[in-house]
Amino acid sequence: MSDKTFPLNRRQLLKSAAQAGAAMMAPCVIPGSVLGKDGAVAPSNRIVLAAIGIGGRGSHDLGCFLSNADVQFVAICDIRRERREAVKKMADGKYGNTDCAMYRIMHEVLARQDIDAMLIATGDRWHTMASITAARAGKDVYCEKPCSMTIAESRALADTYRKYGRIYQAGTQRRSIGNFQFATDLIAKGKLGKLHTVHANTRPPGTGHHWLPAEPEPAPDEVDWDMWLGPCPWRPYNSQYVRGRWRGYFDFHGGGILEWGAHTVDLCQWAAGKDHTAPVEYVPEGDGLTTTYDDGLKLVMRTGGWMGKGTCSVRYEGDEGWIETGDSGQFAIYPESLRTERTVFTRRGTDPTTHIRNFLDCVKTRKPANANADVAARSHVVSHAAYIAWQLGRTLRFDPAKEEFLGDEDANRMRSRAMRAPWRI
Amino acid sequence: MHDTKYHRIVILAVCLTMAAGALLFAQQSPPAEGDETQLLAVLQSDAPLFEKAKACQRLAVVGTRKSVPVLAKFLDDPKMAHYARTGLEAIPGPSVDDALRDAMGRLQGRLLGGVVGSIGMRRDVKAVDGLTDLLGSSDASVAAAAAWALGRIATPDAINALRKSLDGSASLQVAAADACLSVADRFTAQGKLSEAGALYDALRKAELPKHIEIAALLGSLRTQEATRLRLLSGCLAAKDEDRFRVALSAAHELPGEEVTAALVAQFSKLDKVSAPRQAQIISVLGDRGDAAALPVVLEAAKSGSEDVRLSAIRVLAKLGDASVVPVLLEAALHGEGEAAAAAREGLADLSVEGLDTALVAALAENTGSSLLAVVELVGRRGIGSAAGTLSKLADSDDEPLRTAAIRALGVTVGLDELSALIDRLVDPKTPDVAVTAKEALTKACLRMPDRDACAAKLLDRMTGTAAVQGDLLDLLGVVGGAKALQGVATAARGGSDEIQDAATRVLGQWTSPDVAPVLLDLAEKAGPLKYRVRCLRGYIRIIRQFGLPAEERLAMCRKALAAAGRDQEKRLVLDAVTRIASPAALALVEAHLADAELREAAIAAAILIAEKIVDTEPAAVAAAMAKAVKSTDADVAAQAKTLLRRANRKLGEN
Repeated sequence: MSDKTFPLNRRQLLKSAAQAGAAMMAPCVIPGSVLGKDGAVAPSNRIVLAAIGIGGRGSHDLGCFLSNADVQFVAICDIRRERREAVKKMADGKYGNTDCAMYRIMHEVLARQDIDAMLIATGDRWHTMASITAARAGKDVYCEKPCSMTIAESRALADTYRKYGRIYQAGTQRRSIGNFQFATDLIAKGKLGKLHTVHANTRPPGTGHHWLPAEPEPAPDEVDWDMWLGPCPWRPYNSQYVRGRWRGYFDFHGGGILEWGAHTVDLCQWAAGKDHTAPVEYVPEGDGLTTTYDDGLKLVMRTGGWMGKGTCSVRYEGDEGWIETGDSGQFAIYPESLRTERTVFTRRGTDPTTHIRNFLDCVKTRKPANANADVAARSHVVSHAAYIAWQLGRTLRFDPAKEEFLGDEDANRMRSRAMRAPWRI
Repeated sequence: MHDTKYHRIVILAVCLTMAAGALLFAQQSPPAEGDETQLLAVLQSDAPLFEKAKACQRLAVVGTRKSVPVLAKFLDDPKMAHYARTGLEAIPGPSVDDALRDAMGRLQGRLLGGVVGSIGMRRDVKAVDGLTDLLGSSDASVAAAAAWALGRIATPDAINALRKSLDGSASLQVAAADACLSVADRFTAQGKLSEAGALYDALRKAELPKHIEIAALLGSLRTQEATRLRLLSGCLAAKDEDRFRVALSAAHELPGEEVTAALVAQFSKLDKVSAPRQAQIISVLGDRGDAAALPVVLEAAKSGSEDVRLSAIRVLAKLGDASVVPVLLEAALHGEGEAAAAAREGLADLSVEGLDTALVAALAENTGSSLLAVVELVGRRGIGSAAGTLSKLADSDDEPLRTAAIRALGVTVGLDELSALIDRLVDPKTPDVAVTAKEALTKACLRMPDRDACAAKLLDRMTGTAAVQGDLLDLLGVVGGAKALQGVATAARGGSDEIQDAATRVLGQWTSPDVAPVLLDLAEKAGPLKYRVRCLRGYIRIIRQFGLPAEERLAMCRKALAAAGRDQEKRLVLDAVTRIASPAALALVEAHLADAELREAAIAAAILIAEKIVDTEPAAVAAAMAKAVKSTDADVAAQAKTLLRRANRKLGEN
């Protein structure tokens, strides 16, 4: 048994880490202990953070990270120059210095040994690849949802985080928000009786396959189109994709079930105590599906028929009562006697504050986060399987242990998509 | 009997029809139309890149052995190679593996790396020799891809090649180590612990980046049962922070009293200089939930350094029995800062017999900040028997105490004591009391099991100033139910301008669809335009947000259009109609195509509906799109033309 002390010096470590990410430039190493103005948190207790791909949602996340005194944000990596500069301005403004480093190439920022954790908020197509690359470089990761584009990506994500022992938090913040926790707790306490159906609010599933007209490619320093595409199929550049109009394209987007199911299907899995498994049958119905677990529990994915409790609603039905809640924090609950259980939740479902705090605590204690890679991967597999059934327009049977469809080769072929070189999971 | 059988047949027929309709709707157009032969013809033609790319993506699902040679030809084409791999990677059978291996022998650079990736995804065992050769490639990216592929294939030869690479060139080490970690992790999952352990040992002996060695160390802790405890204790005692942290990771995963004992033993060895580590160990002990750790945690909560004490207090409630109550109460009532807050947090959730009684008694035994803390705790635990005492404290001259008591009443009172809070809203001694009382009443009203009885208590007090009545109307909105709705509707119809303003606002945010007839009635009746518009918009919100049957929603849309006097609201209705996928919905928006002011909104709505029903209702879509193509917006017109073509094609097929 090797119980040796670590043989590599700092130079060697940096060299190796750079090789790990195929970094082409020497990393800029800035010890976290000398950074920032905030003296309230001891350097040993501070989490040094960097980010990849920060747009609208990412800026909101980053703002929440920056509000934690034990976070020191040191670097931004983005394939768009204007985004890099905007985030640097935000961070430098917070710290009153000009220290936030900017990177275009992901592997360069990941090679920095002073960075503990990454915030990843790229477009969906990059979430798995960036998260896996970060774990391979020894970073803990908070990654916006959805965590994956395919069943295969979901599995690779969970496997990678297990084998490297890194902390991962999917940006499915509703697991850390009071009204959703309360609803799950009601089930756990048996207040709804035996659970028979859970409902997840999803969006219309379809995506398209067309390309927007070609436009001249900008210089890579402005927008690195090849890196923007990452593992996805090549297509001609059009500025609209880069400005956010990538949703709805099959190559870049997992469809409407995943869009909200990353949250709501995940909540249903959690509430029903199904974090370790998936439904075994998927029946497409209109723009949603009814799925069934091996014990008969139904998970219904539907776009309509909700009671106005806000976006990303969920409904849990047992033989003694039901509860419906959503992003407003409000509830509908039955029977009336359960109203005595109610309280007021003011935090909206879109607010990541408590979820980010859970991530930071877990980085320190090494406890698996609320939405760790294993549970996130499982619930994403459910959304992907549902979308495959919907695309094919037929009922599918699924083996949750093998994560494969039974007796349907077409469906099984749709579990993964070839990645553009040099990317692989 | 006959009737029953007939009835069943009718129901079955209806169900089958609905199911068939649903299935028709539940499907997405593929990337490219046509069967395999047609798709291959596209690939062998001079069709544009887009069409060839989409043909490849479609072949990923429908392609057979027949597609392999056609797709394989594109592996040398930089623009098409990835698309070709998309098709090939998914097609089952050895012909694909043969083609990929063949390409591996002739390609270079990124194209070769891609092919190697596909070979890895397919786990082609016949490729091991070729991949092993590529480990020595001068192209680091190709060598790394080969290592990754060998890790997925994981035959003994593949593993040997990877192990040798751990001692090879520096550029390959990291990729080979990643692959070895994958193999070892898979062995672990398969219960092949000795094989996994051997690989983890090999990784720990190699000179690798620290995070990879740490990953291997975690693997050893997971798999090497015989030496696990010694290894764990060594890591817990290590000066190196990463080794200490990996022990914490393992301690979250590994069961057993002996692991708890190792954590406790290490905690006891640490001195105050190591307080951060002590705090982290305490935290892990709490997460493990092993009651065997309670004595050490309890002691740490009493006498540890500040960080350790805080961590212990946070953990006590998780491990807790009655023995933790005195310590938590002391910290909660007489402590300061984060420790006091953590103790209150723990006590709020602690399930221990007698705690509620002790807290009610403590209301009489404490003063000042301690009493304030007790009041907050009583509220957080929702101790109903404390309502009487809280009611008295709610009249205290001490403002913080008064506020805390009123807030606590909000989560403790029952229906019988609700008046105590309503009194403070309606007739407050100071303005701050009214504000706090409203907050408390909001929580109380949410909890009342009998909505109508609760509403009756509020309606009984609908006198006084407009501001007070406005507050009561807000609370009726929180309560909901028939009686509350009736009361708010009455206020909206007959009150002063301020009351109408408050009442229509509440109705506009009502949380159940039974408000719809009230809103429509108010929108149609004579009255100030601003309130009629507000009510109509509230009515449209019901159409949009609530899961009413499609027919009912459509009928509501018709009523809303009839009630709408302004184009702004008509546009909102047209948008709401788009949520109904039916020819009737399409006809409703089509009727507004002739209205110059609404034309573009109607076209946009028609397109949204048409997209949903074009495959099932092509005739209706074709008729509507023939008008929509005249849109002045070029993009919209193009969308309409596309839908028109699709509908006509469907009609042609039929």
